[in-house]
Amino acid sequence: MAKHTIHPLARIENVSPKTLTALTAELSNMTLDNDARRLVQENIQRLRDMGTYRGRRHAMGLPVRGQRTRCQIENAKKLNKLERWG
Amino acid sequence: MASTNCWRCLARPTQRLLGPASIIPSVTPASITASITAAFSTSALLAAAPAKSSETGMSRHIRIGKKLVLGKKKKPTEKKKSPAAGERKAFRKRITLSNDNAIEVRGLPEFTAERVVDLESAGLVTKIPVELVDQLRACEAFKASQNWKLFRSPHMLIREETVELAKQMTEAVDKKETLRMVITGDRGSGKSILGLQALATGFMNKWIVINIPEGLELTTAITDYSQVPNSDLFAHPTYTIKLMQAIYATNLPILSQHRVQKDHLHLPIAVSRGMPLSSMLNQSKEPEFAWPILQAFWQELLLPGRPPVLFSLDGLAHVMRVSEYRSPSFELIHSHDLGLVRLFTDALGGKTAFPNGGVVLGVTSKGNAPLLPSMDLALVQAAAEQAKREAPEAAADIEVPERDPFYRRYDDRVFDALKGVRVFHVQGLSRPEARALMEYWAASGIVRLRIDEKTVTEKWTIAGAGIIGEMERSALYDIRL
Repeated sequence: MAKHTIHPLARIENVSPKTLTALTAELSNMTLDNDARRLVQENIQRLRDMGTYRGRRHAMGLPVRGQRTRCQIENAKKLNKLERWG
Repeated sequence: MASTNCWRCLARPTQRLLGPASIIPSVTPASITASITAAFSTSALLAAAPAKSSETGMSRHIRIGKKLVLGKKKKPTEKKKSPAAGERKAFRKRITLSNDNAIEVRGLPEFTAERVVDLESAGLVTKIPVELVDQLRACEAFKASQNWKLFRSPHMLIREETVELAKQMTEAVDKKETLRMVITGDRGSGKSILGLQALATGFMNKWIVINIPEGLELTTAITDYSQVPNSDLFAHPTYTIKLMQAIYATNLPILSQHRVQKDHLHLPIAVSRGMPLSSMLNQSKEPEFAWPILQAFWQELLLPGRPPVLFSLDGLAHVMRVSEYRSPSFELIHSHDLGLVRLFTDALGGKTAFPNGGVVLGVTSKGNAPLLPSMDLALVQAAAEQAKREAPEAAADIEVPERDPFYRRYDDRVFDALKGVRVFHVQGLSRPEARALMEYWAASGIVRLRIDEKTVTEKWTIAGAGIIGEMERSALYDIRL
């Protein structure tokens, strides 16, 4: 925010249009939101297509990096899927 | 006859028992007679309690009619409308200058430019004229923490310090010199009020008065900022517009008499020679243009032939340190790199020349002030040098404190900004002043004591030798000190 001299308590309605344009221009160069999500999904899909172990573990919803699976795999169950959203 | 009092505890009989029977409210005659005969008897209470009938009493089961409630009971919550955005802050910061419940104090003299420089009027409570109240309110000289809300109309005490300050100010301006001064003093000693009185003196003498009410607002990153093109400065666009409007509102009669003398071709608004100075300030409400316009206005003010300028800032400590704003390279910005602060510190440090005479006043605050070794030392040094100048014969005995050689974080810019300033130290009230003030409080109906030597001395002593804020705390509020 400092790059565009926007102070910490600024509200979007008080930011000048010029600053907003500059901010939008800068954000347009970044991979954000759905683009970033698609990137992750593509990576997983690539692993799956190659038939790797990591791809398989993703598809099964299990830990990918050699963790034990007796317990503490809730996050893996939640997140590891082919169509990963987060 | 048995006594109504306990023999053992030697307690005094209560008023209820001593008083004549006619005063005692007669609720039930039987209970009174019972209490008179024996103070500790419970028979009256027992007699008054209604006898429980045997059918509704113990014959039924204890749980009949009661529901078993599991879990927490939910209290029915009333849905209240929460205050709108900014409403609570507005309420907190509201300035009330009049109280209809207070008694009007008549016959007090008005605050005038002549009275404030007259040593005779020290210890006089004066009424602030209505137009001056409007000006002071517009430049935000009144603060919510001051006790204006308790009185019918704003009055203030002219202290010896007030007279001395006003004298120094007017003498400097008469000689077309610049008085650069910092007001210091203990917490609650009336520094801000003294600053207000200085502003009032400026208004009364028809100077151009510029007041920054809180240094804190400029440096704690609560208002927007922007980089000034082609310089190392940062501007406060919205704050500058607000300040320009305040200057316009307070100084309109004087500013409209003077004309623009320079060409300001670089300005984004059309400013031509010969137009009134005041119209420079209200021509644009665009925050983006505020800083160049204010700079041009400041240059115009400093031309010869203009009225004297009083530039004041309260809460000096906050503008003497690194601010909480960050530059585009994500480094903290020093407060002196903020345009408005630079304007003030240049004036305070003597870099700005005031050809028509001027007063630059920095008021310190002890309520919410950061610890700044540089500023403290610079002020002590300035005070020592001032003492040397005032008493040249004793100059050899006065020692100017040196910097601590083992402390590395002294800020040279602070020392530059405070170089050669006069330090005005505010202390407690004198007894006659305290008495005048307390008589005014009593006349307003807020203090309900006889104001004599004893009460005045008591409050004066409790307040640490007349620290006015403490006197107000002990006298105007129900605080036991």
